Amino acid sequence: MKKWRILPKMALKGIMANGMVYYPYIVAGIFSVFTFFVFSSISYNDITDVLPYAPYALVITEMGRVLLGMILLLFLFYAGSFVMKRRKKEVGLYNLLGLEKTHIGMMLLFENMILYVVVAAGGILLGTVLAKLMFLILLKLSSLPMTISFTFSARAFYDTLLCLGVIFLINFARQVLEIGRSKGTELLSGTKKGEKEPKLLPVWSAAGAAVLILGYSASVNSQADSMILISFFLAVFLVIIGTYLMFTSGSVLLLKIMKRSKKMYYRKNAFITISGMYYRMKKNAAGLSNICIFATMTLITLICTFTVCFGLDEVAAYVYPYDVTAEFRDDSLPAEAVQKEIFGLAGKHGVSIERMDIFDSITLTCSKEENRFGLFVDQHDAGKCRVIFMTLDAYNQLTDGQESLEGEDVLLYTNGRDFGYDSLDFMGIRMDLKKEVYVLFPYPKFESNPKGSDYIVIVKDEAQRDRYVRVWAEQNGVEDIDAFLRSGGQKAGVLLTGEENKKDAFIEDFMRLCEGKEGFVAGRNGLYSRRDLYSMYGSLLFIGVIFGLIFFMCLLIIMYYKQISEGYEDQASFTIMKKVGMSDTEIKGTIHRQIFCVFGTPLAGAVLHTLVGMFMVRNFMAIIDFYNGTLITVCMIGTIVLFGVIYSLAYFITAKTYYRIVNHSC
Amino acid sequence: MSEERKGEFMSALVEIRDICKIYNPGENEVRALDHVSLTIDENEFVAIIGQSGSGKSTLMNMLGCLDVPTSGCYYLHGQDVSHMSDNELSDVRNKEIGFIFQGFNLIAGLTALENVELPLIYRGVGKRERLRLADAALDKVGLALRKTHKPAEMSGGQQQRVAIARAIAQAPPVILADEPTGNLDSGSTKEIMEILRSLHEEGRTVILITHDNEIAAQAKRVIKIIDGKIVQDSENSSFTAGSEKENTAQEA
Repeated sequence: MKKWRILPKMALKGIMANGMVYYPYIVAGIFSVFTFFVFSSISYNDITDVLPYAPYALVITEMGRVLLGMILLLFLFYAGSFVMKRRKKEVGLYNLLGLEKTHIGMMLLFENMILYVVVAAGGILLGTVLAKLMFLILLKLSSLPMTISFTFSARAFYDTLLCLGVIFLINFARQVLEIGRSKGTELLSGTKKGEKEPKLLPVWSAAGAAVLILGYSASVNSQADSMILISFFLAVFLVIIGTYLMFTSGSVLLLKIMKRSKKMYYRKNAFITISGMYYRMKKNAAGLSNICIFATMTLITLICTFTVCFGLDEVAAYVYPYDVTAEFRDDSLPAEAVQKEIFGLAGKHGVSIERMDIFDSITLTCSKEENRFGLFVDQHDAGKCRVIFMTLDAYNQLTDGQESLEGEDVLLYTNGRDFGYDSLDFMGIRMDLKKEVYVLFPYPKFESNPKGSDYIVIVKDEAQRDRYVRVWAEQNGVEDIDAFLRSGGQKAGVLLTGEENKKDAFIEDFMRLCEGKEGFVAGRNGLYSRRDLYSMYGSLLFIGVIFGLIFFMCLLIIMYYKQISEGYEDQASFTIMKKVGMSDTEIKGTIHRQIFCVFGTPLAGAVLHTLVGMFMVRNFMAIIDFYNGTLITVCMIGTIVLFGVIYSLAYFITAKTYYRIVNHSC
Repeated sequence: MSEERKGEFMSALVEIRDICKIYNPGENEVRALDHVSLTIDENEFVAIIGQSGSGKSTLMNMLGCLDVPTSGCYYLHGQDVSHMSDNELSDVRNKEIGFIFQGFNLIAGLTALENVELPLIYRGVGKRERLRLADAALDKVGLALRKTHKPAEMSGGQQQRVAIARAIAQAPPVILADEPTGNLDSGSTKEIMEILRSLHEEGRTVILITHDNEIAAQAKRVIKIIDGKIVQDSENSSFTAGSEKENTAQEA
């Protein structure tokens, strides 16, 4: 009988005999393939033909697919390497008992082929069954009509099989390389090799601390501007490197220092715990830094997802307060006539007017320092803001109020942090604030808006307004000031209630009406833009949930594998500790403490990273118009607590495997 | 190898000539074996004894075809194995050597029977014959009732007996036992040594690597190694084979 004939059977037997490491690997692989296949299938469904505002959902899904592919490549590579590490001894034994390395290579090829078929078939099958459902969830989250048909594309199958094939091929190549380079005897003792203590411990620790601080400062000093994506990736990169170094060197150095401190070290409990931790950290540091990084990714992803989930309606109302708006060049348009026409259209299309505002305002760009608004020169000036002049009549109409103003007094409203002064200086003119107001409908307030705020100055009448605007126009070199004064124009905004298609018909007619009027500048279909927004953030939400799950799955598998390796290591420790005279209770106590520290450290690290990362997350969310700082904070606290609970549950579930392995030695 | 050379060493099962093994050649080189020569004939029961770091494990790796020497020659059953490739060495190991280790080295997911079958599978033995041989080997070490047990369900002594069954199932000319009793209590140690002794009586060549003088004293020939050199190679005058033991007892 030729040896190669037995290899497929041996490969299958090898997988089954090592079920403890292979089955979770297969489950994780199937879930990875499932998500990748779903993303691929969705991105090949050309829904843009039917829905003009769906491109965001598609672009985001496509980006998610690429990112997912990269994460899964790294993750499956890690899991594959762990599986191989655990099987090194077995493979070494095969070699020792007479199986040639060529045949071992072939056996591994068969093993990878079997795994590939199982994982690909499982993932694609699950994907085929559930892709439609996932697609409907995406449509629902993106507020797209659920009636769009879903078709499977051959390219989705092809892409998934190809991507997984590449991952398995890389894994196989690395396995063969590793086996080929090692001697049989090295393979036999392979599982005992852990991560080694770096040689220049203090240097690497200092480098780790420095890189981590740099990463943190990139987050703390980030601005809500166009550079944020670069800062984000830079911070992520630095924090990952810093975390890795701090775990591999920093923690070992700290324990080494604790060991040197005789007062601390030579105490009954500390002695075993510190020396045990020292050994564990040396061996497990890289794996633990992975857990810390994945935990951070999960936390940040979930915080952003929850913020989008709970803040989306607020943002949609903030960015597009009206279903439709129109601007006219001058304020000569009779409000009553426009109102009448709007009511006429509403009646025609069977929709009700929930709110209608017709008001005029002039928006000017200024620089702001304390309570002084001056000439804005530098495009990159952080003090840039918009000053909107509005008459008292318009204000009263918007607020349904009966406010009055005397002399040069003004009212002031800002949609950012409260103004907090009782007077203001506008281009050298002093105005007394009768009071600062805190609510004004089309400009919702977000105190933590870091993008710069709008300051709405409410003046008694147009004459007063024009006086101020004239000064601004003179200082800004405007030639035809009278024309400029008329250019502020009139705004009409309408909020509707009724069926969506009727609203659409109303808006279409309204736009046509406005376009026919003299002085029409621009109109905005808020309803349409809001749908766009929901489509974009809904797909972000979808991706957030999927990525949250993926990161958590990666974390769970890494944690599980760590518990297995810890378990095997501790089998020996149990016996040794018994031999030196420790009681079972003492041994279990000290091992509990160590295992808890080992898995608690990445969680503590992840929470710290997240807390510092929140500076950047806030700015990042602000870029996409999520300014509600309170909501972000609540989501952060909620996510950390929820994650802490789930992490602990995952720890206790995976710890069962640990105790099962350890108890074999008792 | 020439026929003439083959004939010269026909009786020697193991012939090691002036071998050296040097790790990290250069300034920090470690000379694990230093010009070692050794001959072991068929049906010998040899103990190689040495302290930790003496070079006995390196010698065991050489004898077991797990490593090749830096210089010198090694003839096993008449063939020069010192310059063989990895794959050729695997084949030699499979056919010529049965291994027994201190840590048993059984595959956790396989039953006792499956573990014993493993080297037979590599050798291409058919299923029926394989089962017969594995069964016989397990019977021989007294584990007929434990065939379906997995290693974790057995004691250390029983696991080592499975390892011995695996080593003898294919009837290799050489049995190489590396500290086979190192992880066992005194009762199991006695059992294992008895099995090794009986294998020797059946005509097998047993090479035992140990650091324990008491264990070594149970072999017929004792080779002592210190700092990579053989410093003593002598017959054990107190050695009595099991059959001789019985005769002596009857005479008394």
